[in-house]
This record gives sequence, structure tokens and C-alpha cells, in this order.
Amino acid sequence: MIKVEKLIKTFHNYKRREGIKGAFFDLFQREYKEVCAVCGVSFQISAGELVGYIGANGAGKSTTIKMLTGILIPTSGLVCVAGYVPYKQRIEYTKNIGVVFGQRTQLWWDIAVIESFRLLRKVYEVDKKIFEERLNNFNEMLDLKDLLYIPLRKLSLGQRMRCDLVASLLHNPKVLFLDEPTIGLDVEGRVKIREFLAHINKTEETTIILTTHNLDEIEKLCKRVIIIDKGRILYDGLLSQLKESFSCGKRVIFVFDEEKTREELNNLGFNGQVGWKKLEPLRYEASFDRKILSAAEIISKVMAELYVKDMSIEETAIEDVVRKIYREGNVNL
Amino acid sequence: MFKGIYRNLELFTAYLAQFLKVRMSFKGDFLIGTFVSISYHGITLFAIDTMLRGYPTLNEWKKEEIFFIYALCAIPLDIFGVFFTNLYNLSRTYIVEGEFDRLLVRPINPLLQLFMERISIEKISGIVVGFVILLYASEKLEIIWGFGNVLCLTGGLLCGTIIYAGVFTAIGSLGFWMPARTSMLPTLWNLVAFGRYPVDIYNGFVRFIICFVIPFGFVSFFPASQIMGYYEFRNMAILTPFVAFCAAFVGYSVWTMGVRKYESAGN
Repeated sequence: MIKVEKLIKTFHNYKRREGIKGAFFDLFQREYKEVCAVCGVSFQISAGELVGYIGANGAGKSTTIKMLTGILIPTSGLVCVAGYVPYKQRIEYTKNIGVVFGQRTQLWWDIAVIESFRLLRKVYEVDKKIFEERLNNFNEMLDLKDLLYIPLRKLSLGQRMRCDLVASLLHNPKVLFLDEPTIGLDVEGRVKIREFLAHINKTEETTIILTTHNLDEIEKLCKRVIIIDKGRILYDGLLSQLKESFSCGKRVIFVFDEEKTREELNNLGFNGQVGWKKLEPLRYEASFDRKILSAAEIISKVMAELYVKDMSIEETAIEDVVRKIYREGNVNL
Repeated sequence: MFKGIYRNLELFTAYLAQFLKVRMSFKGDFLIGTFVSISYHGITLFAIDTMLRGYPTLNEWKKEEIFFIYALCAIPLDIFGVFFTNLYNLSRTYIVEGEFDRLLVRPINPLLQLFMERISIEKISGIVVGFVILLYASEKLEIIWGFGNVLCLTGGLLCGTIIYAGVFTAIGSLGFWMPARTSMLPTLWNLVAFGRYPVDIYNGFVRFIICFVIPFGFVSFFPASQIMGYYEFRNMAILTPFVAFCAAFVGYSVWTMGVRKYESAGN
């Protein structure tokens, strides 16, 4: 569905000199600097996939999305989405995609949301019957009802985002691009949108690309992730695999009723397969390779020998993984 | 081709209907708009009148003739104002703040969308005021509105609007190369004033500019001269549709090149 090859986008920025004097000189002579926002990105996404596109601020996420949606013209490289070259066949192409920018609404400020939807129906030439049907459907899933009759400017951010999502899907696009759709939303709003996206992806087989730096979201939605940093792809593959290779280990945290010495803990009979670490007084962390041991084995053995006040099992969060990748700059699987 | 035009017209009506709905809720705007255009035209005409008071004619042009030319300059400008006013916001709102992204992801020509996103209905009152001035002057000048003159007037108004649209689209599109919060448009807006007077009162250089570079002479003076019966300008007046075509062509070309330059705003 989406094919990107050696995609490059560079911007000409000029270095601003400091102060008023600098600004004055800038008027006459500027030092231009070429900034590479996306430098040689290649990937392919098949129909019906839901892919998370992860990167820190300024990593090149938005620039990629803008090239995929036809807003920006690539400096070089190949983009092909749903059989179109986005920036060349813009008008035909945009009938096939839906776009949501978290920070920017697609709807009109002063008119009731439903009026915006009706206008978009004409813009995308959606059949009236199909339109009503889809709208009713979305209405139920996202619980819009009364929101439809209120001018957009009076809605909260979360309400607006739900309306924007619906607007982007009215014409049943083949591909949906979401650029930070949950930015600034509360937990409840996020969950609603997440469930909605998963549902759309499943029932309508819409290909979805989602950028975010809220990794929690990606973890619950996407099987596949692409991680980008400084304009280059660091990782492209299954999320589970990424987590596995970066954190074979799991951790169990125990809280005991009294201080334990290292020897005491090492004598529990794991033959050195469990590493112990004291986190706080009374709190100890047991880390282990889950290919060799299971959490259950450890817990039952520890509890048989010692008095355990409390315990918890922790998995390496995706955030830790990504942070690690950023730090190391590459992924070796 | 015809299907495309039909579709765009349909969309235009849909957008217009939305706009009317919004405007209904801001009744005050219309009253203020009317007041503004009456005072604007009133003050300008008063200034011209005062200026001409000492002299019965300006380079042998009568006051009423100047008023007539003024009306032909003002009406297309207000028609332009109703439909193309969003060019004012192009640089700041659309290019610098990145709102232009939105226009590019919809299946309609972006220039058409830009125009449709803001229709200043309140400026219609300006058109009405313009016609009042036109009628007053034509009454004084005893112009007979035969078929030829009506054709000349409609053609002149239409071409005039297209010339304004072309020129200001080209100037507004410069924002793609020089994104700045303050557009050059309001400053260059003043060039419009050159179209208010007979072309022959200017020296050769200015005359050349307003005929062939920024062709505002063709908006008002040349069509008006034919209606008022100054047939010595016929050779120029006949070029008006051609000039309008060129203005539209240049405007759209600069725009298209500008859109390719668009760099969006960073998130």
C-alpha cells in the first residue's frame, strides 16, 4: 500500500545572527545551511497494517508524514501510496487518504460540526446514504451525539479530536495518517480514540500510520513500529521482537519484612541465575532471563523460604527500550 | 473539463451556503461593512472633489468623468474583495502558521479552496455604493446605456476583477518564497490608486507601468473611455480581455510555482 524508497528531504535554513545588529545584517547577507530532515528513509507497509512511527521531537516524523500525504515534495527518492505519487496526483490521491494532525483541526471553527461533515461529504463526493450510515456508526462508537450541533470552537480538545477523526474517515479512505492524534488528551480520551482506531483498522481494513511520542499508545495499538531519529530509521519491525531482544530479562520486586544480606538471597538455590539488587531498604529486585526461568518459579521458591510482604512483576517498558536505542544510536538484533 | 467546472461550482455554492450561515449569526458585520464602505468611498470622492475644486478640469478631464472612472475602479475592487479577500491571510495564517497543509490534503484545487474559505459578504455593500457613484456620474455625463455600453461595462467589470485577482494572487504568492508575518499585499494595495485617474495624466514611465506591468489602467480607464465616448483609446481598450487573460495566467503560474516551494511549518 505504501512504498518509500531512499526518501530525502532537505530544508534550506539560514543561520540567524544574534541581536538587532545581526538581524540587520541578515537582511542583506544570509548564511544558508542545508538541514537534512529526512535522510534516506525506506520502508514498505502493506494494506491493513497499523504501524507506529516513533521518534523524538525533530526526528523527522512529521516531515515523512507530510511527504506521504503530498504536502511536501521530496528532495529526492520515491514515494508511492495506494498507487499514486502523492505530490504529483494530489487531487486524485487525497480522495484515498484521511489525515489528522493533532495540533491542527480539519474542521471549520465557526460552524456546527455536523455542517462541517456535510460540507466534507460534498468535497469527497460521498453518497448521502453511505454518509448517514457511517456517521451513525461513528456516532455510536465515539459517543458524539450532542457534539455535532455545537460550533467547533466551543468544544474541548478531546471532543474536537474525536470529531476530527470522524471527519477524516467519512470518505472511507484506504490509508489514514495520524500525526500525534492524542497530544494533550486525558487518559479517557486516549483510550476512546485507541479503541476506535483498533476497531476501524480491523473492520474496514484501513491502513493506519500513527506518529506519536506517547509510547504507551503504540504499545497497545501497533504490532509493527518504525523508529526514526535524526532523519534515519533505527528500527523497523515487530514491537514484540524489539522488546524481547532488548529486554530478555524480567524483574520481580520483593518487599521483605527485614533486611536481607546478599548471601542469604544467593543461597535460595537459583545457582546464580538470578541477580539481586537492593533498591531501597527492604525492597529487592530479582532480575532473570525469562528464557531460563519463569517468574512463577522464582516467586514460589522465594515465598517458600522467606516472609514476603509484597511483590510485583515488572516488564521492561517500551519507553526504556526506545531510550536505549536513542542512546546507542542503532539496533542490533 | 466541464465536469470539473461543474463540480467546482457545486462546491463553491456549498461553501458559500456555509458562509452565509455563519454570517447570519454576525449581523453586525454587515452593518459595519456598509458603514465602512460608504465612508471610505465618501471620503475618497470628497478628497478628489476638493483637489479638483481650484481647477475645472484635470488635464481636460471633467470631475464627473473622473468619478465615473473611479466607480469603474472601485466596483471590481469590491467584487475582488468579496471573493478573493483571503489572499490577505495567505502569508501569515496559511504559509507561516502552516494552515496551508490543510488545503493540500483535500481533493480540491488549493487556490480555489483558499478563496472559498473566506468570502466577505459584507463587502457587497461596497459594490452597491460603487454602482450608486457610477449612476450619478453617468447621469451627469448623459451617458446612454445602449447595448454597446452595457457590454463594455460588464466586460470591463469582469476583466477588471480578473486583473485584480491575477495581480494580487501573484503578489500574495511571493509569501511562499519570503514567509513573513506581514504581507507585502497591503502596501502594494495602494497601487490600486493609479487606476483611479485617466492614464494620460501620468508621465511616460508611470503610464508604462500601469499599462503593461501592473495593468490597472485596463481595470478602469480604458473600458470607461469607451463608454464615455473617447474613441482615441479604442486600440488599447480592445486589449482589455487579453490583458485580463495574461494577468490570470501570470497570477496562477506564480501561485503554482509557490505551492511547489511550500515548506510547511514544523511541529
